[in-house]
Amino acid sequence: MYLTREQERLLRGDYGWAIAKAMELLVRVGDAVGASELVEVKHAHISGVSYSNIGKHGLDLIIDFYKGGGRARVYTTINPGCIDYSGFSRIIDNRYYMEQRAIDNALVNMGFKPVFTCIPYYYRPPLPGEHLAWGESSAVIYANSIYGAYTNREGGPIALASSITGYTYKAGLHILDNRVGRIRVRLDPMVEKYPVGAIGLWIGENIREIPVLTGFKNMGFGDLKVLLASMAASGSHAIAIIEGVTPRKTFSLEIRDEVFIERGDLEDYIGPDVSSRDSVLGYIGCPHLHPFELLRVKNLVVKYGGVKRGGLLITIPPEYLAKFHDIVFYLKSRGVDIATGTCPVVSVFKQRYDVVLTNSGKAAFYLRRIHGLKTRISPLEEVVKYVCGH
Amino acid sequence: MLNTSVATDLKARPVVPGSCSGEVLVLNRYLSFFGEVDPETGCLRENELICISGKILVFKGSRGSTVGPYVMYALKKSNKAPSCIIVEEVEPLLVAGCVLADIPLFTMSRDDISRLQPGLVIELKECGGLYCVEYRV
Repeated sequence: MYLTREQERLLRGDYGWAIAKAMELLVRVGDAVGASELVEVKHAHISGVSYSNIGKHGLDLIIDFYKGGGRARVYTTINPGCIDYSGFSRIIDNRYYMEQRAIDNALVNMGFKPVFTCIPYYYRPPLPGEHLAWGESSAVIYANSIYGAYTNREGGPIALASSITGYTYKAGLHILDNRVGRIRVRLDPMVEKYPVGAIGLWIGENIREIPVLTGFKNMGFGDLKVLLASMAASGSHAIAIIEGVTPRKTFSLEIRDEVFIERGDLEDYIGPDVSSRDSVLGYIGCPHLHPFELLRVKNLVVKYGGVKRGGLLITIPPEYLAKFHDIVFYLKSRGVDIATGTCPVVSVFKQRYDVVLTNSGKAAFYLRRIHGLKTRISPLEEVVKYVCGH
Repeated sequence: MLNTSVATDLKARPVVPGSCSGEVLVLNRYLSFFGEVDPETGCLRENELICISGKILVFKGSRGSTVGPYVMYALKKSNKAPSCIIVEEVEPLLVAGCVLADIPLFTMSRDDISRLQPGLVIELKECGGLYCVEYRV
């Protein structure tokens, strides 16, 4: 791989262990995937920071990087951890409070912005063609598909390495020629009423190449976010070309095949019916709610008048607590469980429910696998209606 | 003590170069370090009799979670890391884990891997850009 003189000095260890290790990480991974050079990034987003996922060893590694002199060289945001920073939630277990704080302290002292959210584009929407180094698969696919930014799916340590060096290896989706849509995906008009989370899971699992989503442009951005996150969970997708949405000149098309999603395809992904004996947790906020979605949830809760059976959990960035405190406290007063800076995918549940009813295919996918919970996917309004509508 | 080497025509391509010698342990499958390897003991969770510490660990390729590199780093910290790793196919997270944990990583063709005898002690020596496999007897 070609390195500039400055990059060689970083790699050689002139600026300490952490930077040298980070450079080695980028160069070796880059060489392995055939990159010919490094590219400067504008924004790094660090995932793999939840103690309940990375454990003591992840904590050790992050602290070693901090003590070894690693500091943010570009604007850097942090993914959710495993504790609820508001302290309001009765559902999220804060048992790893001290351990998570140790991780957070190291990250904040390295100069990363403590947003603790999986929607970093809310803080800094990227520009088309801008190079990023983002972890968190749902944010990566959103940045590439909605904003036309250039990022691969970086694992936790690689995004960290990019933050403290300012570079990532130029391969994969950092190169325009690799951003080629090949399989056109259309929806049966009947399917449009189906939950987008299930559609996303289907696409993720059944389509290997970059999909071209035709006829999806009228979905709201909240639905697109859930659709893309679900695709990235069940497949390894990092981009989808959404006709009418993805910025021009950030992709090209060489359509080779076309698929049509029908109702019958989705049944398996939606999950089993909820019986009236089941205790049900409604969950919305995977990925974290954008303010306009928070408002949408609030309006639904106003319409149905509060939680009447089971529970309703929403997850949001910690900042909303101050910024939208009127909405947050209204929801809390109506029995909604609010957790900030975390989500059930990266944390531990305190209470058990028989079924989690969610609009997110990603949440359903991981809650089934990590927590062994029964899940069912419904549109956002149906989730609120189920727990509030009686 | 006899310590002679027998050259073979088996070749490995370095991804994370470094010295590599030890007993060969072949796992004929894909491996996820997160969940499938216990970083405290260096043994597989499904079968505690299979331990990777100090071995030349040979498997098809890595799979699974982005937490994998942290587990490999943990193995190194608790001195339970394999001596080096040989796989058929590399993916970025495995490379990242090997760099973080200073574990040499090589790739070999499927045919060559099938000719590696489990249990034998081998050494990888640099020869013309690639690494040549030598048996120790």
